[in-house]
Amino acid sequence: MSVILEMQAVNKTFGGLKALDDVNLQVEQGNVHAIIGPNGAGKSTLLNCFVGRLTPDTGTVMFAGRSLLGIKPHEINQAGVARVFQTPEIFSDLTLHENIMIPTFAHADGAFRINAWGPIGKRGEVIEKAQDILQEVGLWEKKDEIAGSLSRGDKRRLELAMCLVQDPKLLLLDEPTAGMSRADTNNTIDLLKKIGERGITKIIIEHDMHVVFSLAQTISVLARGHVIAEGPPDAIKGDPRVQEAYLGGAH
Amino acid sequence: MIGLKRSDLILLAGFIAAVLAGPVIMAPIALNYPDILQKFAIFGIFAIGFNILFGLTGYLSFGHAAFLGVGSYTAVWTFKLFSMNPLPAVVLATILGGAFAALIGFVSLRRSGIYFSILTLAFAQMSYNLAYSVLTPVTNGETGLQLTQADPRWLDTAVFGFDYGAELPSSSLFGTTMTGCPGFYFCAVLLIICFYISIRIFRSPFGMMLRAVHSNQNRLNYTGINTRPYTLTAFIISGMYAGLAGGLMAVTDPLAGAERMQWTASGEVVLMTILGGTGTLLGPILGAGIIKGAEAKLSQFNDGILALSAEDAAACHGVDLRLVRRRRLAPDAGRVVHDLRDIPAWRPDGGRAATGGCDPGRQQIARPVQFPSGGVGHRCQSFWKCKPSTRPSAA
Repeated sequence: MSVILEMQAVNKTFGGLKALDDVNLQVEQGNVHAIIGPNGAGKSTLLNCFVGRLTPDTGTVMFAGRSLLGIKPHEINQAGVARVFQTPEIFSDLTLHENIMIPTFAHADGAFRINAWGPIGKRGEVIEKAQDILQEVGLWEKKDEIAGSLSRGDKRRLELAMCLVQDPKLLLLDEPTAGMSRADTNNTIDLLKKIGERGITKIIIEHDMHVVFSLAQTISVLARGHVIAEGPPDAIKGDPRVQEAYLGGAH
Repeated sequence: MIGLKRSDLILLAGFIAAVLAGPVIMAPIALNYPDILQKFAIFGIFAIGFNILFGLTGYLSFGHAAFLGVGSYTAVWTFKLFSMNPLPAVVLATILGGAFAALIGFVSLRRSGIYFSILTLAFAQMSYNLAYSVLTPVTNGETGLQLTQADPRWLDTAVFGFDYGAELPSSSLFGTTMTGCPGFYFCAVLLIICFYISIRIFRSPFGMMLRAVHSNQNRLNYTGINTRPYTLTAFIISGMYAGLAGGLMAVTDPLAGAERMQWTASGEVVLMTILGGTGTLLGPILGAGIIKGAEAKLSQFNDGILALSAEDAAACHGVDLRLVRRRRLAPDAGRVVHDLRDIPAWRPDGGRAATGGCDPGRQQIARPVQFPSGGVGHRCQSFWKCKPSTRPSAA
């Protein structure tokens, strides 16, 4: 399998704090790659380096043969990286249907296009695509509701649908089950497994080990800015360095 | 049909009917004279455009009066240099309004929220002060830009060989003078076109993106949308609407003054849009109607005491009576005439004699003036003191 995302020798410091210390990471095409680690390990910093929110001090981030450094969030998305946020970021005062139409248009028409004259109704292919994905995540019946009124689990579903409708090459999930009930968490796992069949590469950042071990094929463990272990779930479970990092043996 | 859904089509048809029947609909509340109807239409256009920016993207501009002023100056200059036909005037006013909006928007849209509002306000006040003083060769400063007999009107005279003679021309669309009712219908047709364009924008993918900017700009960026060009385009479109509205003000009354750019004028359109309903299609137009209607109605209270008829005011201030009659001003437009008294073109002697009759300190010995309506009054500087010293008979 080929490598789709590669980080090499990435460093990032905030003042005196070394958030990322010489991080190397390779994500293979089609893989579900989980990044775990205790609080403050640098997981979110790492994710923000993928999407253009932060620029590393040194090092390279290559996505599908293209450097992601110094380009804007919308350009990274257009290159095929979609992101799900820790708290769902949706268009809360628009309807579900509009919420899903916006990314569909962004995918079809690019970062900027003035189509102020053609009515939305005339774009059959866009509408069908949006309809398919809403049906797939089970939100079609609610399509005329205002997105802000949805439950947290449904908001997450909607956000996922908004990412999936763009056919991304890489999907970043930042704690997709944070703050959810066990039932909602299991629903989300099922949904993520279902979309796994599309073969989209995923990077999941997660605290909940239940989620991680049900989804991930590869796990990288981050502690104090270092990648301390990497491998398939079974190997990580038994790794003494990981147990030490989580249980705090070295403190 | 014409790219609209059934419900929008009904809305548009109803709107067209209501606008064209405006003089009849407004008759019961006595707001059916052409002057006020023109105002409704012009401020309606201004508010529709403002709503495309504020209603959709949520960016609250406090400087749209600048584009209104640019539109007015452009239209008057088009009259002076090229032609008294209103079409080139409104087209150029729209284009220049848009160009000016592109400049101000490009800088202001780097910030959002209150900072954006303050930036636009600052740029508009800058434009106002420039127009008022530094740019006097272009704007004619505090007197205001107006037509003169010496204007070249190159397109009319050289190309079409039209001779205006000694008379000061008013704008005319292929022979129809753009004052009174024809002036209103000219504005009304443009209002309908503007409303139609606004419906199309509201229902388009572009309009949806603008609403998404309002809702969650962060998500929109991570959805692959570059938000800046979208907001800038919305800003330019609303600037063009404002330019058109300013141009129409000059078409119905070929004068342009710096006060059109003042912040109060920007605040007025914000008020109209919010009063009618931000982000709705019809709201801003209703808001414009309510504010302008209330303004006209409330100023009519006690007008027997406070206001003069246009003709009496003309006599009082030495303004050319023939000009006043030709413009068919509202019966109570004394205030308007008062504001015209310092403009040389409005005076029978071309402004050579001193304005006013008395200086403020010597009001008592001012020469009495015979009013056309029968009373006798005094010339003086202050409009409010200009009331007849004996009330005219019921005529």
